[in-house]
Amino acid sequence: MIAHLPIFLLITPVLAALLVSMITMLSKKEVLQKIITGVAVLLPFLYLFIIFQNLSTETFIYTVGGWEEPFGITLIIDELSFILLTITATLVLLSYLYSLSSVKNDTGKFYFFFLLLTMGLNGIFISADIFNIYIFFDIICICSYILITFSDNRFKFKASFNYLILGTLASLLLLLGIGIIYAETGVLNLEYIAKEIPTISSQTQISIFLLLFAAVAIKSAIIPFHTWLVAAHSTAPTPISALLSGIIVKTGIYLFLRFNSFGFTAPRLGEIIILLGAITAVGGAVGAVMQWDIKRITAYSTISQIGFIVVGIGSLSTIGLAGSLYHMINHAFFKALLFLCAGAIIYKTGTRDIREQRIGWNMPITLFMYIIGILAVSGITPFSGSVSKTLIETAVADNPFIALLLILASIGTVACFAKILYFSFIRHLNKEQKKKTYDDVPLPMLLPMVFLGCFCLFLGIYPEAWLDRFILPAASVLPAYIPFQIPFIEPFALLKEWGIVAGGLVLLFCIIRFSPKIDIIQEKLSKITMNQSILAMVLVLILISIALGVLPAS
Amino acid sequence: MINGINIGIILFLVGLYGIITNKNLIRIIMSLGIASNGVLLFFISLGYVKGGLPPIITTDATFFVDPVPQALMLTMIVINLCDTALALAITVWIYKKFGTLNIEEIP
Repeated sequence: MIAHLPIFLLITPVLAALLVSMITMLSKKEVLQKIITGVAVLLPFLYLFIIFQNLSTETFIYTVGGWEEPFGITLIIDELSFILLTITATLVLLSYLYSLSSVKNDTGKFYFFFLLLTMGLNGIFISADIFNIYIFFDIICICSYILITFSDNRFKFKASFNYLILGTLASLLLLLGIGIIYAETGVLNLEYIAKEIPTISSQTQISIFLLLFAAVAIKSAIIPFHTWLVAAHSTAPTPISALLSGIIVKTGIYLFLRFNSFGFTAPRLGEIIILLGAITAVGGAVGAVMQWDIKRITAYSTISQIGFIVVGIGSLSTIGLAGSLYHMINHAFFKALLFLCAGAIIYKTGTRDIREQRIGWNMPITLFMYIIGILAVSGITPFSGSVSKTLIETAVADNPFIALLLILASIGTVACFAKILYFSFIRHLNKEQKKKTYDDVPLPMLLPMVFLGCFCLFLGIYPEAWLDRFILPAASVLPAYIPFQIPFIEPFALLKEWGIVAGGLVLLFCIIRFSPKIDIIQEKLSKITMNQSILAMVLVLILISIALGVLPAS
Repeated sequence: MINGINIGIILFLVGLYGIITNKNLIRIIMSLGIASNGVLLFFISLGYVKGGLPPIITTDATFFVDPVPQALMLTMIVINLCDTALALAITVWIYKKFGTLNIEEIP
């Protein structure tokens, strides 16, 4: 029974999706569909609990249909997959709770695609076969395109279309990479590919790396491959925004980790990844401070945090890798929290523009949770973001330019969230205090936010336990693993954090001062079409290939 | 050299060029179709063996075309069909709502 658990993670959501779609055809009542979806999102916790108890003694390898490796399709659950499966299960449950009161029409269809998306996410994290990864990659993409169009925003069609074109392009690039891998090695199993990769000539290795990297970069929104992200994440219905930013972007990072463990050898590989990551971190922050739409700010901040994660991966050291994994988990929770709070604010005020929201004291619980999320995303010490940011910054400490870029990105992050806090809450505190109107969102929407806020605290308070128990075993799955000592809370680091906050507030003051000029620049930037952005991607890919030496550089 | 692999890659690049240069949604979807057909041709050609038999197990045949790429491409055709259908559905919505197919005019 225990050996069959990996396949149950896939079967449960699919069966529930089929049931939901059948019931939608038969009756108009929505209670039954909600109950079935609820059962299907709760059952993975049971499986994961049993898996966790047996994870240290046995590895879960399931050969589908009984065909042996490397010919059959294998599903593997190791420590790295386990972490991501747990995040998926938690976020899916919380966004399901949130969707109970926020999604109002077409509930049956919504839950059908929601469950299929869950299946795709579980599938991509457990499959050990590269073509299977492609299939789940596309299932996730297709479900996200459809789920984005469930929102009532009028920009949703263009957002979905752009995401569709770029997502399909990403899966085609992934498929080309798989084709070259198959032609060179003759296997599709990840473990066997990793054995064969060193025997391939370096030119071919670089072209495989470039194709896989382009696919992963589009999926995880590394600048300049990011153009679909902001529109898609900001127009989606709020529970789907939380899932998109929380875990779907992480599938790209997860694949990047797995592909990196193939062990590509190329000159300047780490430096290029670090540089792209740092540019992504700064670019996301710059984009975020220029916006006025609460969800767009949050979406740009996702790009910035992805940059941090990529820098950690590119450092090719264990401390950076552990930092990246930790930041992946933290980001999943605090960004989901920020999106859910943004959704709650939009639900109550009916506007996305932070200048018109005027909330003040009306929503105290949302305000409190939002502040926790902001402290976590800016990396203030007792909250979760601080640990992972410290780890990543330690990994690149010998490179002052990159460290400076990361500090700039942190300042931008503080500024953009302080902007939301100032405009929609603090500016109206005095006026609204006279009325004392308590007007918070319904309980199914509050509950996930409170849960996520608690997670943000738990993950930051005692980091050694999390690192020893979960992160380091997961990092040890990947090659180049060296045990290390982590430098924790130092007075200098605390000073630096509050210095960054001060810098962020100064930046916020400058932004408010020069906002008309920034709006003009923003207007010009928003004119860039999808075609131009794809051209930019192709040019950047060519530049990377020149830098890696696939074309003669001299 | 003219073989399936090279023509497949060239078709993919033609499709990419089409996506970059066209402003019309339908044309972009058609370019995407060309690109995906290029990848399909590339994959099928990987398993091709000159003079090989179809990969059906009979008693005396030993010289087969590789069946794995063909099996993979069956899956890929289904996924691509889904992508194209969805893109066309979104295009119909866009045309009903905004009355235009030019990507620069859609808000």
